[in-house]
Amino acid sequence: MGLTDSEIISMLWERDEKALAALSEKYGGYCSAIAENILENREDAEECVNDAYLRVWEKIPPEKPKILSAFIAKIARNAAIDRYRAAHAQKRGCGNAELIFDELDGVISGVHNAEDFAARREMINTINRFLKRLPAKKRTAFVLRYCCCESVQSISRRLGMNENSVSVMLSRTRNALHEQFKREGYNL
Amino acid sequence: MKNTLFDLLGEIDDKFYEEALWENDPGAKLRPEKKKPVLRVPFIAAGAAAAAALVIMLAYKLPISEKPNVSGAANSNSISEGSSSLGPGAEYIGILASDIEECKKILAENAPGADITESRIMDINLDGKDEIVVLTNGGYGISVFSKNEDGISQTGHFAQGAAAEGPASLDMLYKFDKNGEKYWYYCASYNNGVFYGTYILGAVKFDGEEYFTENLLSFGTLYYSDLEEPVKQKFYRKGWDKTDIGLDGEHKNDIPREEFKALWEQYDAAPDFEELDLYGGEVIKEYDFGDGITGKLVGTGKIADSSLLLGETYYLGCKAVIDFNGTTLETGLTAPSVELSAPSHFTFKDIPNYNLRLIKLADGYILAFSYKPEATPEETTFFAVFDVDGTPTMFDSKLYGQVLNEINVLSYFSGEGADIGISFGVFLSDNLSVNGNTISDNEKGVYYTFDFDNIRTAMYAPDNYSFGYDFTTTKDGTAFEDEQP
Repeated sequence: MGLTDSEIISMLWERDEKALAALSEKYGGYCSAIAENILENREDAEECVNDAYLRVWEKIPPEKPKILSAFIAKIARNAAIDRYRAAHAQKRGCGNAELIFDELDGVISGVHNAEDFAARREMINTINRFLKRLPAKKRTAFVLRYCCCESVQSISRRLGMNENSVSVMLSRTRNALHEQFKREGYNL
Repeated sequence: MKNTLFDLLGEIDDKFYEEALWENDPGAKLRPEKKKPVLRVPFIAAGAAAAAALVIMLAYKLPISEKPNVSGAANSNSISEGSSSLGPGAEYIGILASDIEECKKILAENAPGADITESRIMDINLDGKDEIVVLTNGGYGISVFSKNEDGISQTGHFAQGAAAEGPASLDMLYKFDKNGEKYWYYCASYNNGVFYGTYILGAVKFDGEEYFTENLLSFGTLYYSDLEEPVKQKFYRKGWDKTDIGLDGEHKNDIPREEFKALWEQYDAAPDFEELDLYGGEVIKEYDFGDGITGKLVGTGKIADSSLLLGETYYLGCKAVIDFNGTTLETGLTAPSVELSAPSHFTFKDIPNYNLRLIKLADGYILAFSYKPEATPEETTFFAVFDVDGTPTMFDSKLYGQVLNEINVLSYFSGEGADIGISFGVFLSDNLSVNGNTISDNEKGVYYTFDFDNIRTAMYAPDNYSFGYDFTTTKDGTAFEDEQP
């Protein structure tokens, strides 16, 4: 019987290194999958997940995530994209990550103050509000595609839709997000 | 490389990750999948194994068996090893499977980076001699190589422009004579597993020097100007708005190849389309909303092809023109004819399944355009009209709801397809009542509450909008799923 999320978080707070093994056992598989979606290399993905465990170790404490699975998924995702960018700093790649960048390109182009903490926080709030009002299926597709970097093919299988429908749905959702930002006064 | 939105999405609320990855699925269903290894056969660097694979592909992946050979051309399903009939110029030499390697070298120079995804030895020119036909990705389309005593040379290409980097397939469907000219139908589809597929249905003929194609239908990412417009024009003209189309497949949009041929022949007919915009459009229907307010439903284009779509003449580029006590308000109307993806505004003439209404609410008006063509989900487009500094102002074409009939999803979309909430069977019935800023459809058991204050203060006419809604229960008393923020 695996440990509960609360138990793992408690172990992390107590600086018990066994927590990392528990994390690996419980969430290693899907963290690896997320990282591999981005890096498209299993070995790199595994290294990246190890980086993610270290980041978790550094973040907890002081943080105490409410949803450990999402917390580590986001860390794995961001660790993977950092690694991807480091590897492709000199030139554009041609993998799944680039395709995702391309798809997202233009949705909020023209926003220049995303480095400012407050502005960034507000933009994240805008996205959160937008996602909240989406129907669940669209939201899931959007998150799987742009947060977990899943392929359209994979998403279509998960959601029982054909790929074209998923792509159209994603396209509409991107457009809707663009409109949402415009409505909230962003000059896009 | 930098993508602000992508970075921001790494910081969104945990619950969205939780939902996508785990909620309702503590097992494995929604967990990210492990990828299957993808076997690629790079074109330029193809090694012995790749070459062997190509040879095997040639031997086994042969063209779909054709209909009876109308043209009388040679059988294209076999690898020729001897000479065939001779044409003018250099002597034709039979093609060997190993000639593919030479084609690859040539293509590496002509189209750097292209990968061959499929290859055929077939009589694409319909002249009794085989050519090598290869389908390449990356927008290079289909390339044709011929062989004579001087060796292999690339003699042409067609169907360029499909954006794809991954697997592609090519069906040379069947050959036929049309007006004394010989064609191949072909269907090329591309799908790299990430973007949606691109499908091209077309016909190709060789005139002795060049390949001429007629692209009959496409869907997907076409970015070459020489394809985009012709495809779109024909796509619009004949009301073809199917997407995700295939031939002889099991998908609901797939069509038999015979039907494809018949449709292609229709395309070849003179377009039965009349552009009305020069004349200010044609009034389809007139309305009197009372209080001195009148309206017109106007079409700016007309298609009289009665073979499609209920046998009715239909209009596109439709708009509502409202005379609001001396102030003329105008808005486009979106009423897809067949599929939601229909890119223009279609409305049928002389069928009762649409209605334009102007409904007075406490703080303004709602213009509601409902339509229910047989083949499409029922929909209603809502437009807010209210007084801004003494002038009636319409918030243009931004609110409409629709029902996806197969799953009865509740969904509202903006005029550009942006999802802004939920809906139900939104063809407004005649049994409406109004209370404040709420329209109740008493037959449907649905009511719509419009937040004019929000529209007025937060949005800027005519491009922005807002929409509030609320639901009670369906007609049968079932509670709606609450997807409201």
